[in-house]
Amino acid sequence: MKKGWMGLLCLILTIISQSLFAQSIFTISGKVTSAGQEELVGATIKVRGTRQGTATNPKGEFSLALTEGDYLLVISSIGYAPIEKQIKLDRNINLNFDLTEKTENLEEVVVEGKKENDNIISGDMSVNQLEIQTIKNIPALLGEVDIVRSLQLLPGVTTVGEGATGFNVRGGGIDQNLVLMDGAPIYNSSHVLGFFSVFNPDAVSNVALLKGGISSQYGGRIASILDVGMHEANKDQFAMSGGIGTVSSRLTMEAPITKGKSSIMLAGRRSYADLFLKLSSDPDMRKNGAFFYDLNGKMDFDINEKNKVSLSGYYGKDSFKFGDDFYNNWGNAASSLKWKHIFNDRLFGEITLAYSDYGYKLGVPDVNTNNFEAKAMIKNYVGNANFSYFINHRNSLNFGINSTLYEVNPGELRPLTETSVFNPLTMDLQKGFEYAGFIEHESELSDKIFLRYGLRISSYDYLGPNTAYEYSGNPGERKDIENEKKFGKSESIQNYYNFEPRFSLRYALNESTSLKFSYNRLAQYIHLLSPTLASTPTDTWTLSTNNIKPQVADQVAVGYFKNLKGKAYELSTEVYYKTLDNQVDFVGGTEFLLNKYYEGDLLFGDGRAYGAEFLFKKNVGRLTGWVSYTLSKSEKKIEGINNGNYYPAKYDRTHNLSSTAIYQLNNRWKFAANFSYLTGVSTTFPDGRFEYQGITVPINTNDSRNNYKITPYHRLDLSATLQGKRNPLRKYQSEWVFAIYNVYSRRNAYSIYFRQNEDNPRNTEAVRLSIFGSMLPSVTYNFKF
Amino acid sequence: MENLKYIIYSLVLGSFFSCEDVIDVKLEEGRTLLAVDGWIDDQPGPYTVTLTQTQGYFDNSEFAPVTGGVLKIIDGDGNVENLTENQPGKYQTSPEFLGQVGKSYRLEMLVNGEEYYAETAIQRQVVIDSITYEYKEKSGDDNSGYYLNYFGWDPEGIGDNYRLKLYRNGQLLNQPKNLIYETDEWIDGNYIHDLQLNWDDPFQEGDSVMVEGLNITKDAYYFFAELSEQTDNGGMFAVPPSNVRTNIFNKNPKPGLEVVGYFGGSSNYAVKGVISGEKGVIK
Repeated sequence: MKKGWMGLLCLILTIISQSLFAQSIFTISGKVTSAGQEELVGATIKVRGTRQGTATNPKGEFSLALTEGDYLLVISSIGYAPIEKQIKLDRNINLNFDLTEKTENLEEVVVEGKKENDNIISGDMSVNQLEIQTIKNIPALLGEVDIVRSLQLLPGVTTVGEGATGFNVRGGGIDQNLVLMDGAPIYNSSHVLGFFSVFNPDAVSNVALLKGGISSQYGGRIASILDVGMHEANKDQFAMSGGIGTVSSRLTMEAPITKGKSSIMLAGRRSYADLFLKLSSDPDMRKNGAFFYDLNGKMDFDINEKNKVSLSGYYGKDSFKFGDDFYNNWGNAASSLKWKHIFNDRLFGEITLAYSDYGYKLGVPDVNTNNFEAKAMIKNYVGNANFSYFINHRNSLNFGINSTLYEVNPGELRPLTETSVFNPLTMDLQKGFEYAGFIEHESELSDKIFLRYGLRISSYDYLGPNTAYEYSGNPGERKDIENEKKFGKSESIQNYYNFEPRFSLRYALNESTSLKFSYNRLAQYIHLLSPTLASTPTDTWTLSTNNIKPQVADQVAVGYFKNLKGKAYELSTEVYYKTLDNQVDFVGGTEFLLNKYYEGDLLFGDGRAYGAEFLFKKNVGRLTGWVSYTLSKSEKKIEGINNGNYYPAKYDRTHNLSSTAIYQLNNRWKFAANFSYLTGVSTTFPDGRFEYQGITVPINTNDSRNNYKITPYHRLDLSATLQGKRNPLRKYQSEWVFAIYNVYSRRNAYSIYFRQNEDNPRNTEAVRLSIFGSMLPSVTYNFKF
Repeated sequence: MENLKYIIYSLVLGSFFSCEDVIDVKLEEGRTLLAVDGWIDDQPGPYTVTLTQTQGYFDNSEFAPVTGGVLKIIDGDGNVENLTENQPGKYQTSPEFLGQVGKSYRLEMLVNGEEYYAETAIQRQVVIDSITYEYKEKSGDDNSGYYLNYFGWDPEGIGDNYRLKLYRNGQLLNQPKNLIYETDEWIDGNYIHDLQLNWDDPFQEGDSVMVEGLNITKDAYYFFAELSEQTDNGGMFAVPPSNVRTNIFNKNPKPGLEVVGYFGGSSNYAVKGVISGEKGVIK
């Protein structure tokens, strides 16, 4: 095995050195302006048919180093019509470009900004990407524009039900998605248990979900990477935007700190159902509360042409209060510092330092004699140094080192007053250190073939001080503690390492058609223990321990990509197969909170997922939108469950069809519709019963798991947006968004469960639980100036 | 505890939009298995072990008894008590036989040619200090009436597991939602007080009350935890439906599920009284 890796490394080095010394290099430099005067910042200069390109600096200047040859340059900037320029590069040349503004239709501008056949020639595949403007156009639940829900309208993404926390990508669990906000991991992507996402749409500029062919720079989760970039504020002028919705209101402010050089963005959002509860005449209702808020902030500094620094922060919180009986709060905090540095024309580096945490508190308030507060938290400290080295216009090299220090407080409980029956309890903090190095070569072997291959090596230490337990017992049953051993500070209790090869190949059949293939292995050293069907905010995170092995996934994917009429229509098809190792499940009656011996309650096994995904997109014209369809299977095989045989995962949705259409009627009216159809989630139905002490107990005599699919899920949403009359002399713009969620009031089954009839215990019945029993209209008012 | 959390989430969410409907579902009818329902405690017997056949989930008819079994209970000292089938499928100990605190018990059964066994124990007695009752007006989902609270010491040392049974006018409140089970892991050695026993189902003036506290084994605690999870399993945060554990095993195990049910043991302590006045104490 080791020899194989050495061989691969040698091969990489050979290809690199060959490509290094091949041709001579010249630079193209110049300036991009608008209407002949104003310098354009961030305009892109791309070399068609390659991945080479650059962007203009704050003075509108650019410089690009390429090997000798003929090139087609595409100069573009959002809001401007792009320019194409054929050049012959046999010496250093200076070129200036002037772009003309496009004003009328924002949709078209967005498309024009990316007019190239990016999706065809890029080596990336299995990427779900939506413009934030498109996300804002999709009819939203109660008017709350939702990034995570929008991604579920694209292939390969499902959930265990509407209103459930998180999302499932190609058969993966919700904890297997690395959700990054400006490089800082976010552990819970949902507000209100799962109805809304934690991302304020006004504070976000770009969203990409990587489902496969994942590049070596990413690691730590095995199903997907959700990369969310916060909005970079306007460096030239002050701007404000916001909205008043049915559920929450938003306000975003952006301003230059030093004009043209640095800027700050602040955004806030808060829900206000609880404020209405306070007005209730029922004193008990007034004591109830449920609200969320989140804050985003970002500062950007263009120090000089070679250095750019940004500082981002996020803080979000949910709060539930049920009278004087119970309360529960939870939330994420995340912050990151990014430094982008251009060493020279060829070497580019990005250093990221990030901190994030997720925690919850729950308890019974001290007005009760039996009060307590329980809390748990996971923290991580991330340090990444990633570099790109442009060898020549056909070859580049990415390499870097990444590290994450995890700290988990699995739980602690304390009584609030002396009257409480509860004893104070704490558990040992868990500590783990994950570190990885990667190297990856991207090569345009010919005009047709692009190759990206790399290796990530990740290693993980489960660190003391802590107690390591050993368990004994039968597979598939609760295990008993056999031995325990104490470890001192920073002692490694257990080390794991994984070789994670990555490979992507693109073969362009022509300008508008390509075939792609990818393979990746990903490793994950952290696990979410969620004993319920839908995850709750108080589920327990655990690190890999001496008993819990790291999760590993291998995935191969093949895709066909086609653009028609330029990029007016996009068509893509992908087929994937994935295996998952060291998946965790639980014995019945499990309690993870404050259970020192929780590892004894875990069951282990594997998973596999495979499917075919289809996406058809229409990008231009009055009518835009897409149709997405996924045919898939997601299965698990866990000792002690389903007789040790494969069974469908809860979120296994055989058919997943969704289509979104956005119609721009005129300058003022825009309409959108969304329809989804999904096979129902898997569940276990009983095939028998017995009676125990007068209670009717359901049984499944075959001990099978998830042997039924509940009724299919389908739903239609509509929205209409009315743009306020625009006064060309004023900056103020506004719009009204009217939306209806679940238009035909379908009572979609969230779950079907079985119970004895309350009045006649001998009679049994099946019950359908629907989260939304009717249609939900909403109105939102948005503004900006 | 966990349950409370999920109930609260569901209530908070449920109050917004969700709805439940009884629907028609077609179910397969599974194999017929042996079902065991047996218990032994430190109170005067006789103790009964009931053997029946399982039946289809929507089959509301009487359970068919399993007759002709040979059953005996053997204590930790090797004393053997033979059970007699007084009614079809109901096997009883003799009136003189009495469960004893601190002893382990093994049930042995020869049924249809198969030999089964189950093991349990009777743990130390936990004394109920008092039960208080207090009248409360209707509030939210809670109707007006009397609500009961439990008071009593948890003995020093982890391992006492509680099953509390509530009787109204001699009738056990026996819906799945009435199952109360607790462990002492978070409260060991403390005075348990103000532990509310009934939620949406208050008592009324003149009702007689009996509260029976059972100290059960950890395995029996898990059994009741699973029984409650699986029979009262609605809402957004239901657990995956799965079979409730059993402690009945075949001496020569066969592949697949053969037998369901439980044979458990407990020490019991009961207090009783009648509700009168605004509030009061039952000892």
